[in-house]
This record gives sequence, C-alpha cells and structure tokens, in this order.
Amino acid sequence: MSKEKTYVEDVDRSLYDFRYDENDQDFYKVDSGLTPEIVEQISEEKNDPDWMRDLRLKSLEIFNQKGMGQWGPPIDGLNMDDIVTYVRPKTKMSANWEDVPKDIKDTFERLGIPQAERQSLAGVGAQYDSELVYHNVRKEVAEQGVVYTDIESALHGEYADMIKDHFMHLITPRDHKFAALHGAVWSGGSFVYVPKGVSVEIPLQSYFRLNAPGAGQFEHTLIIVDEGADLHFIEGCSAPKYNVANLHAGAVELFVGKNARLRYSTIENWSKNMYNLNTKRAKIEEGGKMEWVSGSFGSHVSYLYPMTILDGAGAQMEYTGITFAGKGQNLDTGMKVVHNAPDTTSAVSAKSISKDGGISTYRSSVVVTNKAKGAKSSVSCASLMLDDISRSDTIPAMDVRTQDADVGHEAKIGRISDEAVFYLMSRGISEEDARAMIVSGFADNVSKELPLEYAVEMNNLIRLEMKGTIG
Amino acid sequence: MTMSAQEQSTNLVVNHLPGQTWNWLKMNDARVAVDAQSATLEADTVKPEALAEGAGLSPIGGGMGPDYDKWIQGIAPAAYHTEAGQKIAAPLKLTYQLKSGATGAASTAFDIAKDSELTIIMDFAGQNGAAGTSGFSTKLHLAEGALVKLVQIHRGGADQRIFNDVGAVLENDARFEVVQLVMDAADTYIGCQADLKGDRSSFKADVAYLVQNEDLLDTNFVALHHGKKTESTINSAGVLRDKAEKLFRGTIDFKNGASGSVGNEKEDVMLMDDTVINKTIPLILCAEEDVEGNHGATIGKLDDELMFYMESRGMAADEIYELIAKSKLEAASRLIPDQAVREDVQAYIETHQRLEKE
Repeated sequence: MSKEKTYVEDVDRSLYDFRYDENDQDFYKVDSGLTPEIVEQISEEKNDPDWMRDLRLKSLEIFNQKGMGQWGPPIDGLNMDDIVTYVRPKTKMSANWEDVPKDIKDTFERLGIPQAERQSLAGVGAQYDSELVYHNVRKEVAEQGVVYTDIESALHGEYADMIKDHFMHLITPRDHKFAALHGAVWSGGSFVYVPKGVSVEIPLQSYFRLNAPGAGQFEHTLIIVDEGADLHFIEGCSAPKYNVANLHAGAVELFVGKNARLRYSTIENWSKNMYNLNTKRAKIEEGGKMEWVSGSFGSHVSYLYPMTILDGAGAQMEYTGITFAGKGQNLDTGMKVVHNAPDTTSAVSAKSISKDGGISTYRSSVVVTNKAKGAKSSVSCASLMLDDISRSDTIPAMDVRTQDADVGHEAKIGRISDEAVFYLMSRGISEEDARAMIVSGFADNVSKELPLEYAVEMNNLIRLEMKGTIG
Repeated sequence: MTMSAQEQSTNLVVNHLPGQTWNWLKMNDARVAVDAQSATLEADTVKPEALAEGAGLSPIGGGMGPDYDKWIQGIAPAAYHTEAGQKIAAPLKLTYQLKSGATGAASTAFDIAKDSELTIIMDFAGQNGAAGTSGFSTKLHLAEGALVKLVQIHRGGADQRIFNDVGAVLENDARFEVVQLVMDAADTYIGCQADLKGDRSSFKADVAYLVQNEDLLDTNFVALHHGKKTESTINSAGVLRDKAEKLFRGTIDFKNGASGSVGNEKEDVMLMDDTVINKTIPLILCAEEDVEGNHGATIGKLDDELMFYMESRGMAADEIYELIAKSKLEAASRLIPDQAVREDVQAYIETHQRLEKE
C-alpha cells in the first residue's frame, strides 16, 4: 500500500465555543494589568483576612522579581498588561441551579454539568470567570462530614485555620513566576475535606468556565483527604475562543493522609487562545496513594506537570495522561515525582499525539532521595506523530541518589502503522475511521481510568480531533 | 603583556542539553571554571604508513558546544586524511600522557574520503597524583560510504580534569562507531555529536564507565538525524560508587525530512552506594512523522532474579556487585578492534582498576 498523507481538519468546537456577551451591569471587573492597587482591590472585594492580603502583596513582589525560565513553549503573546485578573458575575453563589442567572445557567446546562450532577456526582462546584456561582454537595455525603465548599467561605468559617495552615504551603509563591501571580490574584476554586476513614463513593466535580475575553482565571483548589479516607475529584474546564489571549494560572494543592487515597482526574479543554500555566502538587503520607488522570486537549500553550511528593513510607503515585496537540497548539505536559521515603512507588504512563502542526512535549522528573530505600519507579511514554508538520519531544529527567532503588524508563515515538490501517480497511472500515480507532485505542489507558461519562466525552473529543481525515 | 591568573581563567559552559528543561535539576549544561589552555599536548603516535597527514576541516560542531570550541581554537589540529577507497587495516594510535600542573590541550581533525576506512585509538593515560586539566577535540568528516571506528580510553589518573569533545559529519552511507571507556579521572566531561547529514548514514556509540571516590562524569551524546533512513544507537552502561556523580545526556534529534530513520538509546547504571548521585536525561526530539525512536533506562540495584540466581550459586551480594561492575567495563573493552590495546585495557581493568574500596 502506498503511503498517503493525511489531512486533519481543525476541530469543531461549537460545543465549547458558544458564549454570551457580558455587559457591565451584570459583571464587576478590575482594570486590566497588575498593580498593587489592583491586588488590594481584589483583596478588599473578597473580604480577605489580613494574612491573605499580605500573602497577595508579597506574591506580587515575587512575581515582579522573578524572570521566566529558558525552557518551555514561548509565551510572547501573553501580555499581563492586557489581562483582566478579576471578573465577578453580579450574583451570589447558590446551592440551587434555579437561582443561578439564566445565561450562566444555560452555559453549564449546555456543558451538561447539572445533568452529570444528578446522575453521577456527589457534589458540584461551578465557577464562572473569577467566582463560584454554584456549589452543592449531596446531603448523604455532607452527613459523612465531607466538606465541599468554595475557598472564600472556608476562609471565614470553621475551617479558617485549616485553610491558613495549608494554603500555598505546598505550592509557594517562590516556586515560579506564575505561582507568584496566582498568589497575588487567586479567586474562586474549591476546598474539600474528607474526614478520617470516610470513603466518598462517587466523585465530586468542579467545573471552570472562563467566559470573559482577555481575562484570567486563577482558581485555587485545596483538598485534604484525612487518614484512611478515599476520594475521587474531577476537574473540568473550557472557554469560548477569542482573538485575544486568555490566561489560566490556577493552583491545586492536595494533601493525602496516612493510608488515604485520592484520584484527581482532569479533562482540560480550554479554548485555543488560552495560556494554561497551571500548577498542581500533592503530598502523600505513609501508605497513601495519589492517582492522577489527565487529558489535555485544549489551550494555545500549556505548561502542566502535576507533582507528587511521596513523603511517607510506602506511599504510591500513579499518573496516566494523554495530550493531544493540534493546529496552533504547543502543549508542554508531563509530571514530577519526588521519592522521599522508603518503599515508595511511582508508575507513569504518558501518551501524546501531535497533528496538523501541533507541538507536544512530554517533560518529567523522577527524583529519588537517599531516604527512599527500596523505591521503585517505572515511567513509560509513547508519542504518536500524525503528520510531518507537527512536532513531538520527550524530555524525561531522572535523579537517583540511593543504591537501593529500581528506576526504569522507556519511551517510544512513531507513527500510525500502515499495516494496522490496512488491516482495518480490509475489514471494511474507512481510512478515516481506522485512524480514529487506532488513536482512540492509543488513548485507551486514560479513557479506561475515567468514569464512563467522561471517557465518552474524551473519546468524542478524539473523534472530533480526527474528523476530516482524508486518505 | 602578561595576564594575571584571574584574567586567564574562563567560565566554560559545555554539554548543552539540546532541549532545555527545569533549571533546578541542574542538567541543562555544565559550568566549569578553567584556565586558558597554555600548552599543546603532544601524542605518542603510531601511524599506519598509508595514512596521510595534513588538510584541515571546515568547522564541525561537537557535543561540548561553542564555548569549548572557542577555548580550544588556539590549538592547531593535527590533521589526517585518507584517499578514496583506502581501507587502512592498522589503527592510528594516539597516546596522550596527561601532565601535572599545566592546562594542556590537543586537537585532531580527520578528513575521511569516499569509501575509505580508518580505526583510531586514543588513550588518555595519566598517573595518580598528576593533577591537571587536559582538553581534547576530535573532529571528523566522513565522505560517502566512509567508515570510522573511534576508540577512546580514559585512564587518566585519579587527579585529572578532562574535557573530551567529538564531532562528526556523515555523508551518504557513512558509518561512525565510537567506543568510550572511562575508568578514572577526577572530573571528566565528554561531548559527542554525530550529524547524520547523508541518507543511510549511521552512528553507534558504546560507552562504559566506572566513577568512584568523589569523581564526576558529565556526558552529552547527540545524534542529529538529517538524512533519510539514518540510524543511531547510543548504549551507555556503568557503575557508580562512593560519592561519585554522573550525568548522562543522550539526545536523538529527528529533523524534518529524516524519514525512515531509527534511533535507539539505552542506559544501564548500577549504583553501589547510597552516597552516589546519578542523573540521566535521555531526549527524543522529533519533527518527522516517519521515524522510530526508542529510549530506555535502568537505574539502581541489580535485578532481583539475577541476584537470586547468583546467590543460589553461592556468591555473596557484594561479590556479585563487584563481578557485574567489572563485566560492564569488560563488555565495552571487547569492542576495541585492536588486540594489543584490548588486552592492555583488560589487564588494566583486572589489575590496576581493582573494583574494591580500600
């Protein structure tokens, strides 16, 4: 069979690209740019306690001092002077969908969030631009003592001290420039506390929608899973496409207690004008387990490397991720793990697909300190190139400092096998469908880790990405 | 005008990782303060009669990078060339006695003509106690169908800091094979880059090392696939003990247009103490659809099944580790094409290079 080039059309994103024009009477927003006055304005607007206001201002100082790293995709198109860091719908957060303003409610209904809540979720938080507009948790879950609320409420309630003891302690403003930015202007996000021994049987979900053009979203997610507890948390995000840059610089801090387990699943589908500079970090105590499931489909530029610190003996981490980079996208994704205690284990399965000029980079680090006797780490990454105008790079680093460790790494890069396409076509399947099936199969490691509804959504996204393939 | 010692000192940035990553890992490059090179290191040369001297090369990039090229540019290269079709059976042997005190450097250039073959053996030899800095540069141009086997043996004494840079450009159907054995030296920096410019050209590097005491080995291997159906293989195997540190950078870079190319790299590191630092960063950079790239790394202790098997034969764990460590160097030494040099190196491993801490 002769080799034929495949042309892949741009994605039909109408499901995500609908938008409502925001008028000033329905929204409060600060001026674009980043100044101490704007940061103080946000702080005042959010009624921050003093320590939070100080943290914001200190973070701004650090942001102004820090330079950009010399690695990673260019972010020249992002000008902080043009970004509006705080946009608040003029509505209060509600626990009842009926109370959410119509346009915003319609947005989440089109995205299927209320339906998902009814069918398969233990609780939902919905953020629109900079603030949560809806937050609810099932009664039976709340009765188990599970706290699922917005960070702002938690800051002023009975969990205020817990927030103060954890907020930006794992990700500090000194980590990098955009962690500092987050510290200065964060808004929205969720706080989850699962008490000792409590197992939340069905997932919680937060959904983040950024609707305003030229805006930034800086939500903060803080989850504490106490000893022996169990939680699955799902994060979803999308935005309509604009011709100006939008910015997402959220932060996710996860604390997994002794023998506890947390699964954190993300289907990231930001619009392709988005700079997604997100930071996620988890600290795992003795016998605890962290599971990351990550699908990255959207954004113009992404920097995303969930980090896990295995800090207690026998702590475990699993990472399963896929990145799909299409036209105009430069997605730099991967993970970091630090083995800092004996008998810790990590298992990583990362896949990426590049097509139509998209750039995908897998970047990772596995660090094994000399406290981590008996540590085991296994990393496997595979990349698929769908044409010769795209790019795929693999940059995995390992730093091992104990003799008693077992660290393995393997990576492969290649193309869809002609033989596999030929085989499927000989069974009556069109080339377009054959290629889509092969790519779906390639991404199977992620979709099988997601709840059914999300696996279907992910496979739909892959099908959309592959649509238009001609032989 | 006489320059002060401070004025003569230069900060070299060498072994640049072709795709940069997080700075906190300290893997993006190596930064070293060195004095200006002050003397040309002369080689004890055993030259096959058929090999001609003379004729230089246009600049060729090495694995060490432009800073190093600049540092060594004042050293006039010893240049050799072959004639078309010439297959030179006897190896060119260049032995450098590393000196105490001075900062010496040597540069060598090879212009390998169409369909000709040459074996080059470089021995960087020194004595313990001979503290100094030595720099080497080996640049090669391999014309269509040419074959070069380059063997470099580092047994430069325990007190030497050595920079060893290799750069080659390969035309159609050329083949470049490199064997490097690193057995001692306080700090060793190796850069090796093969530009597979021609279609069907190929590059193979086999590296074996033992790094011990508080020594450092910092390497940067780069295979640039420009031509179609090009092949690269980078195999690195070694042992770290005591407070040794090693950084392996290995890059397979598939450029757009290198269709049908294949690149493989593999690292196997055995760690013998809890005080070692092992860093590994194997890159695959890919701008071409029709290629196949693989890399694998195994780092840490010996495989449980192997340990069980050998312990069941009555060997103690320490003995097994010593045996395996020695076998990694011996495996690479068997790739040395010259029998006399091979036996000499194997004797060195067996006697001088006792793999036991005293």
